[in-house]
Amino acid sequence: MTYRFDTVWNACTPALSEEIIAFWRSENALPAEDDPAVRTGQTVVVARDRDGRIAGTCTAYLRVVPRLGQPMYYFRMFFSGGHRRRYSIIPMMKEAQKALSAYNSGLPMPESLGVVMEVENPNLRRHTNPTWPVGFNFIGYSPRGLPLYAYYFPGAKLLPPARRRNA
Amino acid sequence: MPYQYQTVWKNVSPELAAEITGFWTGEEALPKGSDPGERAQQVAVIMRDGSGAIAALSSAVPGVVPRLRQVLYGYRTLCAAAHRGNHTSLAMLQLSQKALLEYNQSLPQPEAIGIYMEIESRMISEHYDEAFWPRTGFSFIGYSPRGLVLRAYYFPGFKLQPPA
Repeated sequence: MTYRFDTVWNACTPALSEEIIAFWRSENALPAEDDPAVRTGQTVVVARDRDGRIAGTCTAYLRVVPRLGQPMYYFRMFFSGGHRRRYSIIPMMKEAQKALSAYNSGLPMPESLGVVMEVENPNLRRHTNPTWPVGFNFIGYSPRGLPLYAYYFPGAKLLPPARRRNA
Repeated sequence: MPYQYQTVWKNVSPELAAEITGFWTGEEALPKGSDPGERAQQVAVIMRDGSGAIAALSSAVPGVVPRLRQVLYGYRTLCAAAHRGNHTSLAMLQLSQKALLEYNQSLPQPEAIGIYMEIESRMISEHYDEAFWPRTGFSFIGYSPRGLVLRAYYFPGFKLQPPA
């Protein structure tokens, strides 16, 4: 199946926000503690199926990753059950990388060095390569024991460490 | 000054080991209590100056990196004071990567899935501060307990092992 990937980073309209929230709710993908409006404001890319319906979304928010001591976008991706495939996930990641990299390049001072991802999807965890073709590299395991991968924007420079954590 | 590079990984003869030990001793780079013969077997690449004398070397030791819970080679280099500042570290590193990759490719089971380094040189830390080094594939993975930058490179095609 082919998908259309719409970059909506910092451009999520109220109408799109409502559509995304409805999608998440229908998939039981909106934790009760999460504020839907905040979450939709973090949406980077929306994937639509051939009928124009939302098939997946990815979100990113800025945080200092303790083990890195550097600001990164914490990246999450969600596809509805029938759309969790390599040919949907990889293009989505590429679009998101492109959008976030371009956004940072346009800032007077970049707010993030790149993207970090905790691999929750069991299908993705089966791919045990420490490097991914989309430029993500393994950086260790999260407190939940899940693999963590980081991607750095081209040319991104280290900032003074915000917080240090032992190896 | 022209330099020659020699890959010696797993191929250090007793004579070469003695020469390496002499180099370390001359540079006062042999910690007390360390076994020079054992250390010499960890050498991956040697750089020689125009007269054929050792000017620098790299060494690698496999070990579990706690933050990764994976076995990688810890990589170190020593360049004689007289030869520093000649931009030789990149060639040394790339040759070491090649030697260690090919060695692991030849094993039934790899003893390491890549290489990591703690950047002790302030000059390198400050001048090469990109999070990802495209020419060698080393990526920033955090800071060591000493507060120094840690970087890792994974051998192409190798898989993560069950976490140590």
